[in-house]
Amino acid sequence: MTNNNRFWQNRFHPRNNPIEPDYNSNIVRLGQLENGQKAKIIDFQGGPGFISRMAILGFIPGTELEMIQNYGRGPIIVSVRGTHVALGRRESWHIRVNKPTS
Amino acid sequence: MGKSTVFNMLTGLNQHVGNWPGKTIEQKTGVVNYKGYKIDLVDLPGTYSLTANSLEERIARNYLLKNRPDAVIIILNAATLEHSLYLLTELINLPIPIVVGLNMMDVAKQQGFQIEENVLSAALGDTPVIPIVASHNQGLNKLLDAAIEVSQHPNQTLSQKYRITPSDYPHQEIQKQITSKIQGKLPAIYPTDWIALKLLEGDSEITSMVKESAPETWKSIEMLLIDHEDTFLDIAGSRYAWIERLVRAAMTNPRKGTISLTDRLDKIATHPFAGLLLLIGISGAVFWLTYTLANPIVYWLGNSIISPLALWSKSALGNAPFWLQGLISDGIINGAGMVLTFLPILFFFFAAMGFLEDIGYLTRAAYVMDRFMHWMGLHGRSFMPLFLGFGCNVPSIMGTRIIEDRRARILTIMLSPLVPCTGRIAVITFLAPAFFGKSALIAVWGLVSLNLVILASLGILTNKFIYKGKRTAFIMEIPLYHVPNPRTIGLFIWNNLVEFTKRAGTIILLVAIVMWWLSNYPGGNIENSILAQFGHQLAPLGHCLGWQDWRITIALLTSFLAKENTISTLSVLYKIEESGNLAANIASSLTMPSRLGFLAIQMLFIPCVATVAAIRKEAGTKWMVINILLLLFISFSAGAIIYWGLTLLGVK
Ligand SMILES: Nc1nc2c(ncn2[C@@H]2O[C@H](COP(=O)(O)OP(=O)(O)OP(=O)(O)O)[C@@H](O)[C@H]2O)c(=O)[nH]1
Ligand SMILES: [Mg+2]
Repeated sequence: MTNNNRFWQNRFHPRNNPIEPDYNSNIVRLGQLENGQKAKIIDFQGGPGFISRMAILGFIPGTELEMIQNYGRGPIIVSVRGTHVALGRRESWHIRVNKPTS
Repeated sequence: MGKSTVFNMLTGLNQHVGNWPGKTIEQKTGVVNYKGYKIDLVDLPGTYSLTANSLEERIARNYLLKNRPDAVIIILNAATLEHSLYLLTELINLPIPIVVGLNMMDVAKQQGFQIEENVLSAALGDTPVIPIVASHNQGLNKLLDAAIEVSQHPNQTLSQKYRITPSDYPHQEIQKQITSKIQGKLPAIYPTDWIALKLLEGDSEITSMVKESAPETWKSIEMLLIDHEDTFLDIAGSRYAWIERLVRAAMTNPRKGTISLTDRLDKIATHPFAGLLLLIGISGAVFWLTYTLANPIVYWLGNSIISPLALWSKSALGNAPFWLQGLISDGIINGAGMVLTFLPILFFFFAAMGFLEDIGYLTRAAYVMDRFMHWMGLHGRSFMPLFLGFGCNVPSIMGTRIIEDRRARILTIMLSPLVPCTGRIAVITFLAPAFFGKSALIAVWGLVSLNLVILASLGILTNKFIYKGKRTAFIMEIPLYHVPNPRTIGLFIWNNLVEFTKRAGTIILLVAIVMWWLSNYPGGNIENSILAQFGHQLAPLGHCLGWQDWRITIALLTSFLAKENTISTLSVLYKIEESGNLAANIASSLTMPSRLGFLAIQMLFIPCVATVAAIRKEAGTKWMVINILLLLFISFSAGAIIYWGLTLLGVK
């Protein structure tokens, strides 16, 4: 997103939209899933540029993801709609998913 | 995926093909003569959607919108059908006839997917869907037939028959409102309802365009957009919902793919520690392989073909005038010809690179390097263009178009000349055995590592102190591993060797001839020549670096035109009369510290003209000048430090 897109900026500026702590214990961050765990996307926290890029790749609330690789640090790999996608560690914390049952 | 493969098969041209997203970064046109038709086929960069995030995606989108082709062939990857279909959901809303090429049918079959193309076709309002295996030239004629067919009935096959847009997602009301607001106010090339849709999707380029072209109405549009800011998730969501329905109808066994081989290989290749070791191991092995396999051939070619040929031509031309004799035997054969002996080095190097690209290793390497790229304020994606730099810095600089963020892109461009290209690697590989004897391979590794260490330090320092910025998101599709395709790899090698030979026959040859002329006139011997006079002027510079011989300085300067010129110039200036091996002759005029210093400067020197021009094109004149000065400074400092450091340590 370019800088002149003010309305997006206001809406998604960290000041207006800090990452809230997850009071609901059924919600975890994507980066907290372990290898092989599956979970559904709840929502995103980030700018519109980020969310729209994720949406294009099929990351949409309700979509099921499978964690392929997560070593606790560094980027992760998830499987979404049958394709493997690498995400940065930070990005993996901006996606909230439901807590896997297993 | 496979657009460039299709394009190459049909046009006989040679677009860069490889198993990672983002190879094609420019549009390229080729001509196909088929059944009496002359078709202009255009290969475009790949994109997931018409909302463009990076430069190369913007090129693809703008081509489709502005050039209004007679028909668009969209290539889907049957093995990752859901993702590929996303672009299609956007294309069918544009007034352009479409043909679908369902590629990678071999991979899909292997994974146990069965796709009924007629179901797909029916769901798309009878848009032709042709299963193909591009890499084996299967189904491509049918694809052309279909494209010709739809292009002749533009009105029949238009997307009007099937429109996801108005009926399928919840924000059509707002879209209509926006459409009416901007009607007639924008350049006519864009369909107005499409613009409205892109505004709702938050496309930054379109947003600024509308703001500029319709400032009076922008306020009210903005209000609407703010009220409906979550629309783009809904839009994407409804498209994917439609895709899911489609895939469920047309495909048996969706999402049951056996990606086990990929998964198993990735246990190692993308492991944070093992993956890093693998990457280092592979890089080391590539240099080792190139060195041990290619160098004997290079030496054999030089000693048994080029030198005897030069001597023979001299005696054969015994009666010819001095200038003709010298020009042919010293300038052309010994100068430019000597550079041609590098062909085996390039062959092995590009074979290794083509192999790694084609199986799909590159994205894995980028993934593993992501953590380290963070230190420079970059992320894994920047690794891929940098990696291309080992072949040649020019595609590497062009390849930075896949980086979305301008700051990250400029930084990657500035760093990429520090990746040693084959030209430089060939020069040091050629000289190393004579310079360092048994430790030659270690010296080559050391010099390459020096470049990479400087690259990393420069990136880290820049990020810390000079050119700070926030990283953008790292999001990258990881393709399945492919069985290497000998044809693709062969073409890749061939392409690069042809490029190199062309260079040897043009700029390198020209420089060799000029060098010969400058070193023989006036007077017919080198000591009184123009070049010698100039060289003696530069002598103080050489002395600081331990080069007693001005010919070394001149050779280094000619490497600005093409890196291989170092060797051709030295070959012209150290005439064959001095007998024996060229590299050995050069070595004898340098001490050990100055040899290392010389090669370090060679590796770090100002990029060649082609690279400089690419930097200017992609980043602008300012950055080009900065880059030249920066590398001039870095290379001479590194050379001086190495020379004086080793000399003071008493190395001989
Ligand atoms: N198995 C298989 N591999 C294929 C097929 N078609 C293409 N490939 C391989 O897929 C990879 C990508 O092909 P490209 O033609 O470069 O893809 P592209 O669509 O031009 O990609 P970008 O330019 O990056 O958007 C290469 O490694 C090809 O060898 C196919 O039908 N079957
Ligand atoms: Mg391509």
